[in-house]
Amino acid sequence: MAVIETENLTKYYGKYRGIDGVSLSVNEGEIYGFIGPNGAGKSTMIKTLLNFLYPTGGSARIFGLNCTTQSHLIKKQTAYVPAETRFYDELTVKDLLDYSGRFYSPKADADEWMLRFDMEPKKKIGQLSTGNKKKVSLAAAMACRPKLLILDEPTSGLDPLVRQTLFEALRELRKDGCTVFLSSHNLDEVQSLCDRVAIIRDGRIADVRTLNDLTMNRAKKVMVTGTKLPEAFDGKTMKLVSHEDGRVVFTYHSGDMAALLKLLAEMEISDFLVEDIALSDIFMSYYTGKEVSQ
Amino acid sequence: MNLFKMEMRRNFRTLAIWSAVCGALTLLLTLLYPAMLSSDMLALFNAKIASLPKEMVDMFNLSSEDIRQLPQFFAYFFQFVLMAACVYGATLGLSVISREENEGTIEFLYAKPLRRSRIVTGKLLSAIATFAIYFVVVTIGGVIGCLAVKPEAQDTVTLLTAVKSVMAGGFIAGLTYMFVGIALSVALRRAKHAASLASALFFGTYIVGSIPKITGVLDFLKWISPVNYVTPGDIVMDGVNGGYALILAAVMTVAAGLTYMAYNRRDLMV
Repeated sequence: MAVIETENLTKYYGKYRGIDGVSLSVNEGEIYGFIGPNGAGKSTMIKTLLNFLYPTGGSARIFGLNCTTQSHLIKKQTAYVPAETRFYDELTVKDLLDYSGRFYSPKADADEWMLRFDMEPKKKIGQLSTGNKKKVSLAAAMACRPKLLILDEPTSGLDPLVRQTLFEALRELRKDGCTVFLSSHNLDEVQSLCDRVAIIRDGRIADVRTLNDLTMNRAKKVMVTGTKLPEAFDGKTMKLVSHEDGRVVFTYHSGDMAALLKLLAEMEISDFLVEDIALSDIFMSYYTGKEVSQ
Repeated sequence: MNLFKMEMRRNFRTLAIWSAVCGALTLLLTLLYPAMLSSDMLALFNAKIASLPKEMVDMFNLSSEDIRQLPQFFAYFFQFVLMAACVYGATLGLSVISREENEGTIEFLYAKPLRRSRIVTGKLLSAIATFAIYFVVVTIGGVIGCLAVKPEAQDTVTLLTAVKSVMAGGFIAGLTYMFVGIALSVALRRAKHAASLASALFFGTYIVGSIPKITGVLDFLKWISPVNYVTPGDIVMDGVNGGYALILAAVMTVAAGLTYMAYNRRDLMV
């Protein structure tokens, strides 16, 4: 069942493009990554889903409810962690979380999350560091037991320990059937957490891939130093990257490892390295708009 | 209720300052009444007023012919407290919604399961309650002052009725500025510097509303300023004019309607 469904969702700010014809579907219980360069439309997408912004075209539904007209109902089951956390500086952490919790019925209790994220309940929000404010935001979101969690750069400002706690929490939530929509620039966390990834560029969805798919079909990057190195490649299963001073670098795009070994056996090799092309390289190709080597 | 309580809590500090200053000012000015009764002081006061340009006297209702009576004296100086009250009302109105947008905290509120109209209602009610508390404090200052300096010949019921009416008129005028301020803050999309905008709103309408008094023409312009509907000196004599009160209530209703409409349709400004 699709938790988030958009069809040709479009938002223009006057003549400026936010998102343009975005169609995507996020399934129940999956962690869905949403990546793209700055200005690609990630935040606009999230804000349109949450009805912070009105779409200029297309439609969006969450839990089958209209994101524009039934947003208040959607938010009963949806929590949001913004990239930048701005709270009421004069409140203490406990007061803020209590205030947040009272918008839900039954009241969302954040005590467990205050403990897990090692927070200081009596400290005023205005005295907190960026990372600690982010923890408050995460605790407020987790406490309302959401069925959909929308995260915009959730780990920015967090130390590695809290980041680990967050990842564990997200996996637990997914186990309980919660869907997570994760917008991030941190490609490692997308890689380690997400089931699927949508790449947005210039306001449009450039691609939607499963992480499994990306991992299984990844090309190899082969670097060989020696003599009798091949001068030409077929350009299909093998693509030359560089060839200079007794060192050749090429990409290998076939699952037939025996053929690769046979090719290597024909060379006089003093050293060689075969590695997967990093997912971050693949993602980066979407950012830069250059061809993907995978 | 959750939102309302939070708004009241957030309004508390400025409410305390405005209430303390205006309440004390009302009290202290009332306590000046016995001094003003002396013929020397009155002569000096009238001489000073007479030395001012007539336009200025008219614009600020400085004519002082009746201030030997306590209700008239109270009404006379209260018009200056009323100016402050209207600026506070406008500031409240202009800041109640725009403050969260300027500080970025509105994102937190928008993510909660609330209709936008409920956000407006919570904020509107808290602003009204805050302004009402402010006026109660100012009224208490006025009543204590009046009772403290009341001449024996002055009927207490008449005096308190006059104070009550002047305060009611001031409350309605200030509330009108507040509602117009809220509508403006939503219409302007991003109303920074609420206090400056509030002063501009109050003094802009006040000056335009004073043009007929100064020039003797364009009489209709006096209705631009809500203060001209509730001039304390007139209220002491005739009570609050029901027709005028209805006009101001209509202005508030239209402003509130526009606020709800515009806020429900606008994009979040963070």
